[in-house]
Amino acid sequence: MKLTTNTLVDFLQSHGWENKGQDNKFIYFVPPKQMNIPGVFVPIPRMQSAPDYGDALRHASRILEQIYETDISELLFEAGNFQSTMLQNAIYVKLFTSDRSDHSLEVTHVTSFLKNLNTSFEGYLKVEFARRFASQIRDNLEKAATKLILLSRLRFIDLQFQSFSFGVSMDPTIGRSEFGLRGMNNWRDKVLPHYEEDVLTQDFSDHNTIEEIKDKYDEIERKVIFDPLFKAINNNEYKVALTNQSYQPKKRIKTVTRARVKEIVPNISTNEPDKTLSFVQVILPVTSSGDLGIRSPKKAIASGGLFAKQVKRIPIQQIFRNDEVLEFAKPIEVILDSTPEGEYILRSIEAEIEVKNATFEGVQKTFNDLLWRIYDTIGEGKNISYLLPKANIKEVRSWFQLGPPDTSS
Amino acid sequence: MTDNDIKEALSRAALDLIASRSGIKCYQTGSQDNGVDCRLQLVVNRNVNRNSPPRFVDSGSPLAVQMKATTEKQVSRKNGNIVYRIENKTYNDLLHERENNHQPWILGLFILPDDPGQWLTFTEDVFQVTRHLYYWTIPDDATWLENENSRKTIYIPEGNSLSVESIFEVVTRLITPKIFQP
Repeated sequence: MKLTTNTLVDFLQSHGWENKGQDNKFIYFVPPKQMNIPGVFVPIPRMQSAPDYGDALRHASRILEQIYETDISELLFEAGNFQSTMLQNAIYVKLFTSDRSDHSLEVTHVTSFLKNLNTSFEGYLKVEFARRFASQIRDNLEKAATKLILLSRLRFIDLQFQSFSFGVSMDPTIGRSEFGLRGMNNWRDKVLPHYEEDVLTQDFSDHNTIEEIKDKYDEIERKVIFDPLFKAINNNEYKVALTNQSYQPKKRIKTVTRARVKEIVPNISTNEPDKTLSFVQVILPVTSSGDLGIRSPKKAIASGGLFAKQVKRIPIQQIFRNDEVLEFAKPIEVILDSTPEGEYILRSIEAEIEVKNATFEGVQKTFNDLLWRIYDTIGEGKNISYLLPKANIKEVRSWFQLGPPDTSS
Repeated sequence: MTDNDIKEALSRAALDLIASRSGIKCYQTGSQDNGVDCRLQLVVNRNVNRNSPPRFVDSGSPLAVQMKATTEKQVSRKNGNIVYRIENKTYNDLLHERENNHQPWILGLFILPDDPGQWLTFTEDVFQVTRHLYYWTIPDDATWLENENSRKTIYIPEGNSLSVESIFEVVTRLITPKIFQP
């Protein structure tokens, strides 16, 4: 797309920049507040007959390239294709009333469907984000994921109320410079179509599909992605179909039987669902190939104030579950720590895991469950050097025999 | 190099040093760039409100600078002004740029001591350019000067000094459009 005053102005306006006014030479734009870069303004030249018009345009472009960390041609291409990309990536849905004689749907049903669809998509975003980018984030993955969700909200891009049809999409151009992660923007560009493919259009009546989902996502990940989805589609008041842009149905979304729901989304203790979820996303990105999948959290854990204060270090040789025991080839060192807010932290740098919980008992249980979940997921016989199972030792006891840390300091 | 070449090189280098020390980018230009010797560019730390390492982006238009290097004996001081004889063609260039181009311009006047031996000190402990540096902008009521081979006397307020302390404020003021000014 040619670089002109109009193309730059179109780009800025479509990305929320504020026109602060103009004089005879420039139109002045400031970034949208959510970009949080006070003090920046971009002068877009107006005098096309001026000898330095091209230089002034290139200068404005350079500022935008620095801000968006992308070549101007890509930015303008996006601007030109901004709307069409959103339309193309959108998920189009039509709701049909189950009662053929009644051509109305309660508002609450529609809003509930949308809310659950959105929640499912947010869960998918969070899980996939953690899997892909945990290794690049040194500080707070949870915070980064929250920001991602805020910047990736689904938006209506089309709506036909009379037929209960709508298209929702996300704008991947918002917040492109917020994260500075390699591959992040490319991933975000495609994440909605991937959600449709990985989640929405799956055949949940097919046993192989369910096994694939279970291979790909652990219990908690399945819960955050699929539980709200099943709530959205398992409603007796309406049927759901995915459509094309013209709202011609292309795939009917079947309701999912209770047995299948239970298979995919088992009942998980929800004492601290959010906290547990965040840790699992950080520390248990088990891939379908069975690889533990991450290495960098070791660095993140090690740099997270680990050596900055007094912590307890405990060698652990075995962990127990009912009548099973896992014995490590060599003891792993478990560190008991606390957050400034008083939450308990247990971390193992060797096993590359870290959990926290509001209570001491809770953090023990979470840690224990997590190690078992790793073992269950990876399975016996896989090349996990530090896990060596010994079965049938009939002993059930707390494997952790230590007191809580002193958090008074 | 002739003395004039040396003075010009020192003037460019000095401006670059002062700007850099004040956190302003100084883009040096080639000799064919319509008389622009360098462009001063304000930058903003875009991570100022984030818990991240500083990352700087340009903001606003660059301020074009045409440097003139001279010595004390070629200027005089009168009533708080530096009195300097500018070539009419340079004056007209500045006027033309203001009227017909986008970027704001200034004339930078770099005044060195008469004794070339005092221009630069570079020892183990000291790196010093002995100079005065002022800026001048074309007046609002400027009109075209017909005889481009002649010179015009201009008066540069001594307050228009460019130093490490002042350059940031000066550049900010000159590139900030009126609509942003309170």
